Amino acid sequence: MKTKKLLEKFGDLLSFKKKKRLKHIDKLKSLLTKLKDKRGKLEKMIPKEKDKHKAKRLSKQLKVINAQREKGLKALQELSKQ
Amino acid sequence: MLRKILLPTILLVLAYGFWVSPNFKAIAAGVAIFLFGMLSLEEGFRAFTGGALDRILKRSTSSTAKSMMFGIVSTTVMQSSSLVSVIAISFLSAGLITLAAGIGIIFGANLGTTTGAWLIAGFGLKVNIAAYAMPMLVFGVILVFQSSKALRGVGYILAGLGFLFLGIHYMKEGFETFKETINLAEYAIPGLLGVLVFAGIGIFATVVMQSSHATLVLTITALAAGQITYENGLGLAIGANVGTTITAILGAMSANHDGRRLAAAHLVFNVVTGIIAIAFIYQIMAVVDGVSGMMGIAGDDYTLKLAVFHTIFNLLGIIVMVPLLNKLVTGLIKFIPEKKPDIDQPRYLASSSAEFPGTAVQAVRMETERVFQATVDIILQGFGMKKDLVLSGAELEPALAEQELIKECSVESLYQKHIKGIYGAIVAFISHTDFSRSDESSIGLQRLREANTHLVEAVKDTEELHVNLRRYIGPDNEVMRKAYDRLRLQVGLLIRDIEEIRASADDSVDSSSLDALRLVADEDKKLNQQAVSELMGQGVVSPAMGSSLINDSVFSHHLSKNIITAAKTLLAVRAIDQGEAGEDVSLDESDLSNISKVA
Repeated sequence: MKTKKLLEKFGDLLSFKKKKRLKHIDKLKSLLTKLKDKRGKLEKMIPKEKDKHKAKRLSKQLKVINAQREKGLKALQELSKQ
Repeated sequence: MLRKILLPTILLVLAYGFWVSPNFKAIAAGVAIFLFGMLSLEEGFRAFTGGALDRILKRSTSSTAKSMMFGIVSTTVMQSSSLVSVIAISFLSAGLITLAAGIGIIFGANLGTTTGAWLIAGFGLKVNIAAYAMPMLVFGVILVFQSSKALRGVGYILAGLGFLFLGIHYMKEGFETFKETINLAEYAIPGLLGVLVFAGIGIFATVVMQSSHATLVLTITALAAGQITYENGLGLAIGANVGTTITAILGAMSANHDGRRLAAAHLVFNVVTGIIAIAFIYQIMAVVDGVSGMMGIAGDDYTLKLAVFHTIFNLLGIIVMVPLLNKLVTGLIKFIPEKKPDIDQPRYLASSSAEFPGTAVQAVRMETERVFQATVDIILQGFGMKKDLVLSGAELEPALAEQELIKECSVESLYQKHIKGIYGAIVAFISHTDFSRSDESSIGLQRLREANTHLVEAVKDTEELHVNLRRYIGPDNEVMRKAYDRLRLQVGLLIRDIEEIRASADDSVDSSSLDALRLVADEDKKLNQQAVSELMGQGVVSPAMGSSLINDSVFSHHLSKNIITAAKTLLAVRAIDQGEAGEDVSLDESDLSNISKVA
């Protein structure tokens, strides 16, 4: 059992495709976290913004971030299944 | 003309040498194998340039000391000061490092290259080096055939080292048997004259072989076999140091003014170091004897003493030149000025920038930034808006309303002067790069080319709009004035927002801000067209005016889309570390359209 696991780990080390996929997943998770933080900041900023144009832009940005997170989460699910 | 004569002459001389002496054949073959090993090593290290090297270079060149350390370490690892010089020139041409940092790297590379002499004298001559070469060659060649870029790189490095060792072995063997036929030591020239003559030979040999390492290896193996005297060997080492600047000069011919400055700095440093070494040769020899004694090197171990000499005179050069670094930079800027053309030309697209994928992308990105700024300037001029007002954050609407007219400007002339030259050069530069199509850098270059196309289209949209903007921004028709001022306000705010986003630190996340601007632009287009319909319905504007407004709102929307897309590409290329993750969250046309519908 131990030998099998060791061989699997060795195989993973040599398996560049798997390493690449895991790296991709890490980067995507990090990006999704950044988007989540940005969303939180925007939700606090929008009610306080007095400039109409800026408020409009910020609310559009919030919609975009929600859409990006949705898209990113779907991509993450697909990658994790592989 | 000289090149046409030189090559056949060299080939004839070699052919004659082979016919006359089989031992000469072995030495020459050793040199050829050694040089092939250097090429293979360079190829191997190039596989690792790109993201990692860019990041290391940026971090390690923030001060002169750090730059020098980078030069020392990279040359020691890669065993090629020529490759490090080429890297420095490429990065400088692409605007990634400063001139002072580049000079620091060159200084360090000169010291780092002395490790080659230590390796050869300390290891190469004292062991059966061919025994190490064989397995390296076998493993190296196997790895070269792998699909992974990293493994291929390692393969080239291993094979390169193998060929290097094999080359040293053949040179060693060749000189050992050569002395049975001819004793070159009989032709030794004593004293300072000998040093000067052999320095000249060293320069010539290095220029021909394009490698100071090869000259040093030949010198050390000949010295080990007693074919040259110690003093004459020192002359050859000095000559090799000076001759190696030729590679940098040849590389700089295709570089911009910065690259040429760096090559000139390399020449100045090595020539000054050479002059100091010759002028104080006997004093330095005394120091070498002292240091060798302290290190336990035998008095008659001339090969190791040559390595000590090589290190000491390069170190001396650095000690002399480092305090003069700022003066050198000032002098180089003065004597090799940047030419200011009438039509804006590219600054970063030298052939040296195309040497590495990372520098090619950076060079094109820097030029695209220039095109972007030029486009913004032309748009603002075309729309009759002052740049400092737009970027200041002040209230735009009242300022635009107060304006009495828009000055005429030839958008076409501005395009010809500030954009066309650079744009054409970018397209030509990208077409000449030969990176693999699947390479991340190649994708980056294609996207940058598209970004430039978008910027050119934005300028064309401005040209279309400028005509009616001039016509209607005035007191004659209040309704049309207001409508066109609305377009100007929308574009002005867009440019303000884009510049604010571009100046922010977090590239990957702020692409969302640009997508948000796209939604704002889409909404503005709808509102503009609704407004025109209302005006036409009320009979306040004529059908001709109404159609002009509709067309111009389309041009304005098109301009906005183009400039947003270009800004997005520049951000994406800057944040290329995100790679596929960035692509996974990026919204396309249909995604944005869906968000608009939900809004």
